[in-house]
Amino acid sequence: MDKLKKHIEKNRPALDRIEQPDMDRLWSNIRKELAKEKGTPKKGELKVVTEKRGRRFTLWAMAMAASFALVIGLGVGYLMNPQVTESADFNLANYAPSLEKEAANYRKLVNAKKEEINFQQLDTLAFTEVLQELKELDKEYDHWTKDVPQYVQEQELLEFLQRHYEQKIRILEILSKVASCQLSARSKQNSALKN
Amino acid sequence: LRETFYIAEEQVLVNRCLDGDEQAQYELYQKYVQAMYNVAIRMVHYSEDAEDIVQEVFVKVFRKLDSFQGESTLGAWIKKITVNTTLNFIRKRKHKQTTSIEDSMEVPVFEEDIDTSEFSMAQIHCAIKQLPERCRVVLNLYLIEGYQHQEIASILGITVSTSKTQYRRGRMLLQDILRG
Repeated sequence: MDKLKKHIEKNRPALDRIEQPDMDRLWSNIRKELAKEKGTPKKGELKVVTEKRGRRFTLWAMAMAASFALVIGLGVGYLMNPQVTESADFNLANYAPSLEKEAANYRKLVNAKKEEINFQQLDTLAFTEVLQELKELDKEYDHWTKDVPQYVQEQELLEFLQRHYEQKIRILEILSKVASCQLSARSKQNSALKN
Repeated sequence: LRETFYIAEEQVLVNRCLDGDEQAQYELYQKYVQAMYNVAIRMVHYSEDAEDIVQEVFVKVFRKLDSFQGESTLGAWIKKITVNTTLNFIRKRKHKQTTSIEDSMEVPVFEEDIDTSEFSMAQIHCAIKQLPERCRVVLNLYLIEGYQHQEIASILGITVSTSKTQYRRGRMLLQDILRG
């Protein structure tokens, strides 16, 4: 490697600090520009979940690569029953009662979201991937609360639980919105056919 | 394992941005703004231009985030957008210029390289910015951004040999500027 290249690589942090942008002004301009955008994805939009499912949750797929392969092998029929109400986790309560209390608060929200969704009329085939994600989240939860507590700090587990439930609530929120849109479209179609 | 966690963290940030989480957008901005600004400011003269480029880059990033496939790291993806946006900026501005001083700098010939280690990064930075545009772009891409001549040739639509020639020319001129 030539001397100049070596010299630059060695002192790269210094080189990268020489000129700095006006961070606040720049961010404010970016926000203004984004606000003009009509197509900016907003929280809960259908396309966010449906079009990018595979990529959006790669994190969980990565973490559970082995179990993912297994689930794929077993097919859609193996998917969990997402409407089942989530109940207290005795294993977690045993390990860390304070965490179980925290989890209980989250579970209330999760269950409330589940109640909003009419699973009976849900087109499960259309939401295979979403349901699969929920399954993945549950498997990961099992992994963390059954095995991991022996190796991780309580704080780390708490952070996992927060991430887990927030992710789950977000998925259910979107599923609820999309499912209700789908149902209303279907009922409009039916009434149009009757007329 | 650290890399896996890094990618996972990045994925979480991307997902939050896709959910319209403004705090996540700001986090992403803070994480990459300086690096992106550095790419731009080393290739254009004025800070206003570099800021315009970075603004355009981030708007593109947030607008196109759903097309990020995770084939490279997020940083590499944003860097690619920054390099392309900067080059487009330079091309557009070039169209507006009626005269070019591109080839007016005479290339000195040195028998051997000077010892650049005696120069500070600030001196080298200023010297790079004084280079004529074509060789400044090639030198930046090769020397600082780590691109290979093959990639530079493809991005700029020139031959590999032209890329190498521009780099050599840039090196010579840089040494000349540093010598004062």
